[in-house]
Amino acid sequence: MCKQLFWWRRGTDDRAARRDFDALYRQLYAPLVRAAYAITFDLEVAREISHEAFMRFWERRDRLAPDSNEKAWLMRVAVNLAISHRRGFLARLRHQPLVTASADPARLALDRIEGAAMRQAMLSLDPRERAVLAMRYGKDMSFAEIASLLQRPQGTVRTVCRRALNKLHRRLGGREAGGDATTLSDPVPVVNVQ
Amino acid sequence: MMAERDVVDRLTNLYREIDDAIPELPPSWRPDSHRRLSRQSWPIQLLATAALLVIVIGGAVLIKEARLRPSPAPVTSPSPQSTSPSLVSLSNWVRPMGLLTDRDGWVVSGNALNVTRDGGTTWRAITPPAYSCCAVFFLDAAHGWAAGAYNPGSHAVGTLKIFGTVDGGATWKQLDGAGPASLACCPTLDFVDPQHGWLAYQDNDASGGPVGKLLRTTNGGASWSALPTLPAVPVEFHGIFQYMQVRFASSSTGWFVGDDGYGGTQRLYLTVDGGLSWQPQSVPVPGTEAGAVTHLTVPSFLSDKEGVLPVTLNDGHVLLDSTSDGGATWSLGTHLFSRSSPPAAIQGNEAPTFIGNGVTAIALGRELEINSGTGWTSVSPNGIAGVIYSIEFANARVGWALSGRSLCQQQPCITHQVLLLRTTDGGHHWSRVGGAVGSADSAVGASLPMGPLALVVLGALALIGSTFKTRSVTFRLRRQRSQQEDAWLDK
Repeated sequence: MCKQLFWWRRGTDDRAARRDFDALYRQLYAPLVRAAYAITFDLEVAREISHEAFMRFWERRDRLAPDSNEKAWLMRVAVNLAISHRRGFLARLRHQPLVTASADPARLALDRIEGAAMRQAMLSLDPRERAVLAMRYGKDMSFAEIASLLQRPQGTVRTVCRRALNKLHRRLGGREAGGDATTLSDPVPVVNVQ
Repeated sequence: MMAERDVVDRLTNLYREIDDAIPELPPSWRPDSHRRLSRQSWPIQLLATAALLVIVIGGAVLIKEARLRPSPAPVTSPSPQSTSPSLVSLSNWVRPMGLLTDRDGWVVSGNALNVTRDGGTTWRAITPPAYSCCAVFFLDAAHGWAAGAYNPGSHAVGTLKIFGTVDGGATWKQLDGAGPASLACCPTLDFVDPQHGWLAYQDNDASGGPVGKLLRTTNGGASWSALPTLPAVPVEFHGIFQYMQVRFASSSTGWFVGDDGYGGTQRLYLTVDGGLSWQPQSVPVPGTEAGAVTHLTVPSFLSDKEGVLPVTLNDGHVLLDSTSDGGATWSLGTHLFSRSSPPAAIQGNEAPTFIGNGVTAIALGRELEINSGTGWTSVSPNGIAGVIYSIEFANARVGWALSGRSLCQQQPCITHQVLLLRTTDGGHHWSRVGGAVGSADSAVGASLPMGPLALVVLGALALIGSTFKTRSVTFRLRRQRSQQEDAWLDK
């Protein structure tokens, strides 16, 4: 595939370009959505981020180095988009716990996962921390691989991972110690608009 | 307590379930539609290029002619915005409102800075000429400063520039700034008198990590000097408005709340040399909360010596620590304010508080605790439908608040309003601040040569038109893509 990808980057074979892009899209769409969801915990946002990553990839296909790793490039873009997604005010509002009546089977399945406590505990983390956890324990990536993808020092990644685990440990542990979920809920950097 | 191994197991299960829940099949979407856009977009690109050329030529002529004219020292505000300031659009990472007296106040909504001189009945747009407006600080109704991304005529990210006014925003003067080369996060201004001020902002270090930066002026903003990098990253004010918690009480003494930039433990830092050096301070919390996550707010002072430091505890309770030595040390507060039902409006952030003008107010979700010198009163405010994001009082009767509410009948909902509300009875009753933005004089438009200006405007319109056309095609593609996804989900 690498040779073909090189061709369609150069725009010499339109049909091959579309075919290879389609193959790449089918192969990587779901992993990208999962990775973005593990950071944003918002399925629609995760889908939008994944599409945005593919659109950027397509737009920049002529500028990618011939030996570049498409999968790593797409994952890096998706993860960075998911991390920076937190900045927007509306993005914060979207993270409120919702009672959804959606018929979207994926969303319904996701809503059943681990219940509200785990979701809230995850949302209480910084998006960078969620990203590191998702790559470490969701994708089984090494610290070196994560550091390479995030373009951060490996020591920083280890520290972020350790701190995130400690936070989750404290928060999930506190909840299980018998506290009321409402009064002892741990800090969640979201806005609950009533 | 669960072991850390259990946390990792739960995490692994979580990600496995996410993988199972999100289906493998992607919605049908191919780049060919996008390629068609690329193929058909050459006339658009040609139009955009021509528009850019017109702008450049017009701009060059404009600059040339402007140089021949005497340069007006103060920059007058541009045309007013037509939006009502009562509906606040939080599109910038800045402090969105300030109440100076019972009649004077300002609001930043979107990229517009508006002021009122009659308690909110009428408004005037005084936006300084910054592309992205702006961190604002008004010392009084006349003296103010604004910092924004300055890049007129371009939609590229601009350089952070600082403007000053001595006439309530009627005219602005661009001040010399030693600011960052690109717009950093959350610029925050603070002045203690017309001469001494600071600008804090967040930047990135060489590895991309967040760092806190501070600029200082001792001549009203005429010049700014960069101070040493802060020992921690200033915390964004309750995580919504995203201006930072930095406050000075005098030209030498000030505080900021910082963490590691990744949501770690917050600490209060004190400087006694105007920001050159900082020392962490001990903030007492109840023994039961020792080691727990606390959310700090910069202190406010009732006199030279007496001050109050709001601390929001992990469970949503709010504590007011106090000082009687000018903030050198802090004593544990004796009163715990609990967040009421419904649950905390803003979880995991400090509760909005206001201390000054003889009033201490704490917003606890939709409820208020107010002390106007006669003891604490719990208030269930009438007229506030949503949660309170920010609150300020000009005196014991008159105050402003920002409150958010959902606009949708059904969830999920991402459409929300942030309203500017006003009370005249000490917080018991609130009503939406009305009034449209009135006109402001615009000496800039009158002084510019109209021929080249028309060229620039024409070019800009053409550029916007071509961009809009490109965008609309992209939006159509995305809508089409979304419909394809929906169809796939319905199967």
